[in-house]
Amino acid sequence: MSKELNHGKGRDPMAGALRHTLRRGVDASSPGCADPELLAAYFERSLSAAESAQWEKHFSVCVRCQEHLAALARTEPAVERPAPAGEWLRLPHLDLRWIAPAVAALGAVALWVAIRPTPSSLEQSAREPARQIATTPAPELKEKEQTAPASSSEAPAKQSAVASPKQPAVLAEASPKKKALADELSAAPAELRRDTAEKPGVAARAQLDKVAPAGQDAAAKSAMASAAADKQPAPPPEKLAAAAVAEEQQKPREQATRQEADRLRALQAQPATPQTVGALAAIQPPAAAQRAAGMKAEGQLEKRSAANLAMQAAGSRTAGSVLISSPGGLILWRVGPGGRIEQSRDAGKSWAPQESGVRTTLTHGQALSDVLCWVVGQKGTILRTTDGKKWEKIPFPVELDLVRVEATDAIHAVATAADGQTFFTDDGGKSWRKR
Amino acid sequence: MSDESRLRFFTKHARTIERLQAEALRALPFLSAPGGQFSWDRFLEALFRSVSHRFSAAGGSPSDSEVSNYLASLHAEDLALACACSAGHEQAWEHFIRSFRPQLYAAARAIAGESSARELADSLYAELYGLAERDRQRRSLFDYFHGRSKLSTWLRAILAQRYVDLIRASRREESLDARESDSDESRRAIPEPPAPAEELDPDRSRFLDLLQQCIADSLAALDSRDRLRLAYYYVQDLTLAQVGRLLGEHEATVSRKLDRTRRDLRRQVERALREVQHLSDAQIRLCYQYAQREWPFDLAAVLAGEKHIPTKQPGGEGES
Repeated sequence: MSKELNHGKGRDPMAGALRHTLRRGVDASSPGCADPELLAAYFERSLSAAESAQWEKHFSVCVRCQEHLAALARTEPAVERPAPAGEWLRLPHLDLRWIAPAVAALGAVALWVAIRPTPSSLEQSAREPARQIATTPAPELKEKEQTAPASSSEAPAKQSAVASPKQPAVLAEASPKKKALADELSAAPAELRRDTAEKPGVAARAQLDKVAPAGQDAAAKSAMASAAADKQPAPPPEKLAAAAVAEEQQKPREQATRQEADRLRALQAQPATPQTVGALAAIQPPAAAQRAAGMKAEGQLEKRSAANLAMQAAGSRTAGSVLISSPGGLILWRVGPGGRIEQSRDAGKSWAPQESGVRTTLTHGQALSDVLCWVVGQKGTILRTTDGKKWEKIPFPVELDLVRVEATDAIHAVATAADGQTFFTDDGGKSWRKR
Repeated sequence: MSDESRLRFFTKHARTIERLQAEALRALPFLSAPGGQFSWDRFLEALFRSVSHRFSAAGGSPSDSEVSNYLASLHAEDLALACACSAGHEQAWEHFIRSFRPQLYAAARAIAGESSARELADSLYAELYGLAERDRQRRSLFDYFHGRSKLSTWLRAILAQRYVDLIRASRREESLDARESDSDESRRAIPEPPAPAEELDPDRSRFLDLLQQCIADSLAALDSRDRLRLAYYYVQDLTLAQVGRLLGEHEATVSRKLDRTRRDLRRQVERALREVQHLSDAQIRLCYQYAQREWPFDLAAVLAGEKHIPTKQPGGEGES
């Protein structure tokens, strides 16, 4: 009731005059009033946009039709509808307008990952940042670099240590034993390092195998050190998320953990942006990512959206799947190839399959509430659920690959095709018109 | 439409018609029971009538795709049920009563109150069954259903229209102004008598007329939807959610747009009073003061006395 009063019905001095004038200014009943079928179709929003506009013009000046429609509205039980996408951003007590640009930036990251360059160019470009990571080690190692004497006699031996600081750094982080070994190896002549490397049982052998022999130039050493550190070229920060996924699946757990720790440190050292938060979230488990994102980006990111970013990144670990989150974040859907739809009711902890009824790849979706969700896919596939469980196929006039859907409720939606064409419906998908 | 166009219609859209038929049969399998009174020709005729009704009003010749899209949008199951009920099919009637009676009573209760609900709903049944006769043929209200909306919504629209027209007829007035002028004190607050100082002000009537004129001019310049939104809220006393339901907007959107429209209106009215009517700020304040006394609007009183808002609404709008 207080919400209603805020519109000045009880306080605005103009309210009474406005009401009085609205009543006087309309026709008592205009010719050509709507029949029950038209009123019902209008109420269900199944008229075309042109028809709706035409009739609304009549309704706005016909008190009889207004009364009919008002009575019709009263016959319907009140149902709570979720606010449309973006409407909650306008709430005056919450300034969350910048969430949209943050999510848009994350979308740009996802797009960049999807259209990343070829492996050869990737290797070439990746070595540069990897070298940067390799050459920006932990502070204690930086100090060692600086204090290392630059005398010519010791240069070759030292150069190896400097050129590949990552290995000792990696080892140092791994365990105290390895740290001692790393210190020893750093100081040892090249010949000794080779001998040590050949000894069985040395934990760092895999790393040392890759250490450039003395005499090679610094650049080659650095490149080889980078390759040794990662086994793969380390991608730029924006691609760490995808690289982490690939490596995790292939490497032994210990090595993966070590390298993940390196990337995590590198990301944490960078300023918190949606890109880095997204990449960070892909490495750590969702709960940890939320904490990390919340701590790192405190004051910049709303915690719930950080959790959503984490969940999105975590969801993308399942190859080709797209994560759709309800506004509350508790109910999630995951859609992907072969018409696959899965739902989680516990924020991603567990997933259960749902029957989509289609076999085409599903590419995008939007959940407007815990039970209302639209999904689109290839070959003009559009699905919608209004109870969170059963999916109904919405007919679409053309067999285009759809890549995006934006909806405000169960009736109004816009679908975007891969070639940029957009189609909208205002009757729940019964008809679609091109924009 | 001529026989030729009928033939063309059934030939051109055979596949869509078959699909609609299959859809109806899936939902209402008893329609094809042997010995039943239902003929599928009746359903086909209903489809043809629906298309004619839709496109003849608009004028011009619709394209095949327009007709096809329209057919695909129809509620086939409801249309078949309506046809069967109109034909007096017993099982169809049982199905209709079982499925729709509770909804009809609930709708009638929502608009007419507990005491009048049954009467309102029952009066509708008679016409749906077809007690009236024309040309020695029973005419059912179902014949006017064309499947463009759900049957339940169509029935509620009929109930709503009948109730409103009944109220209007009983008051023997065509306009709400006339209804307002009745001494229905439960519906609005009684205007306060002007204060002695106001009574002596020779400009009082002029200020009220000017204010009303400026508001009317501003309202006329509004977009239809904005004007309709205001009318639903300020005249029909609908809640934000109900207004949103009618306009296809969330109540938060309705609230925001109402706010914006009101602010814009007030700005325009004051600008007109100041620049066109050359009133001072003090005089504009007087306009509002006189308006508040002349047309007081107490929301609480309206909600308490409003007949067609039940004391308990499903979902709870907090109204009492």
